[in-house]
Amino acid sequence: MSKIVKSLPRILELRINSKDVNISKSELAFSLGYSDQNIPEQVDEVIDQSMELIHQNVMPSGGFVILRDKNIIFDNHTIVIDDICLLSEKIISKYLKYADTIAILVATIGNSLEKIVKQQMDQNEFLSGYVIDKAASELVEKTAQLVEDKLFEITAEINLSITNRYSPGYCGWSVSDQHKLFSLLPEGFCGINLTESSLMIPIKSVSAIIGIGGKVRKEDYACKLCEIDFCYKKHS
Amino acid sequence: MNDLLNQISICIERGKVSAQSPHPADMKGLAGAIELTKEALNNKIPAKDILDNGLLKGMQRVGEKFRDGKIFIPEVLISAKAMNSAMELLKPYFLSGEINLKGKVILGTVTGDLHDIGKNILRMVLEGGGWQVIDLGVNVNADKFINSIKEHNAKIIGLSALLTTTMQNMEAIVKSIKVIFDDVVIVVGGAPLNREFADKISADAYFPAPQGMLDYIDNLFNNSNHSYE
Repeated sequence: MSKIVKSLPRILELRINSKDVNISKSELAFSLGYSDQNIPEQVDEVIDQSMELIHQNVMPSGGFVILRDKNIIFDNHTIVIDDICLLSEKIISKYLKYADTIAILVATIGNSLEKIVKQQMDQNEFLSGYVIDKAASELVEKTAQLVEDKLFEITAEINLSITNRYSPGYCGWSVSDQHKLFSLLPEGFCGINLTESSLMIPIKSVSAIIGIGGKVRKEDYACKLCEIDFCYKKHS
Repeated sequence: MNDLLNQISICIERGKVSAQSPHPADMKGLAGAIELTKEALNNKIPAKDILDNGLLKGMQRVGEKFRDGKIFIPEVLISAKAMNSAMELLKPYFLSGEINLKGKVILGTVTGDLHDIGKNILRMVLEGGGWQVIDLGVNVNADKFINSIKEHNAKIIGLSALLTTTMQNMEAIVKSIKVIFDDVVIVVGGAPLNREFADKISADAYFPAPQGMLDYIDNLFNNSNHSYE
């Protein structure tokens, strides 16, 4: 591994202010299927009523581990990190194989919104529960984006680039690899843990790998790589 | 009579629960699904007519609009809430056997999976469509499904999963159920699934959205000699 990669931090847990992770009314409406012009009045009201509650209950945290000290072998189907073999799909390894190293990124917004959604559903307030759940899904992606932006910033300082982020469960990559991925992180990193079935707790969490190097780049249309037709990430 | 039932169906379609409901704005102050259903019952309109030609007719139009992409899930939930509020008034008629729901559906998120938003929305849509839903919750294993099928004599089962790991658990659950109940219809759903996967695990159907399952089981109900009660 090059000296330049060795100069990257091995681990970084970010302090994220909840005010830095927010969703606008337009963004939330869009995630529900509406434009600003066609939000039904009752949905509009529920969004307005929920915004403060949503933003008060986002507890973002995130960070990444750069595997700069690991021996990583890329081929067309797999990434072997020391003795851990990740990925069985060509779709992702194709974009990562030119990387000098990889970072494992995690982000979460905590479990407060998850609890509120459950309360709303238990009280048969399905619309409110659905709206808050959608907002939570968007907010965890925004938190992950902040972490990715930080990684971009520190790699750009030493003239390296990063790839898109790729998550178990997407782009044909099995969620079962989640345990291998988490074995490369400190236990409970950023407050996220895994269940036996690879479910992240808090549920509104994201994990991903990102390639780092001089010969990698971000693809504009990452969703076009994936075959899952009904993925929520494809709504836009 | 027809006018009153038509008004009920409009209230369901527009999500007008009661006279107190401020929405939709153009119906503010007008009677909602609750008052109109009460009025219909007071006028001795048979409960079955109220259900079929008022409430379910309204939900049917909601389903058509959703299928055509004219409305989205929030509006379906708004209508389903109005529907369920009015259905409360018909409970005594269900209990006396004067009217019946279309049948029973057992729903559950499979072993290892704790996601329940999709399943809850499906429950709301199916109940709004005139089905009785037995919701087993999350992390439901084969035994729990089987015991519930025995207890309720249900013929339609919905399995939900949101992870590629937990969707693999569906196969064993489907097999376990089918070994004992070969006449049970099993529908699967959840973000990572597709029709090929449903075929592979011998599920009877897969739908990416709740309305698809409602249409499918409505079709079974309308075109079969089986009872789904």
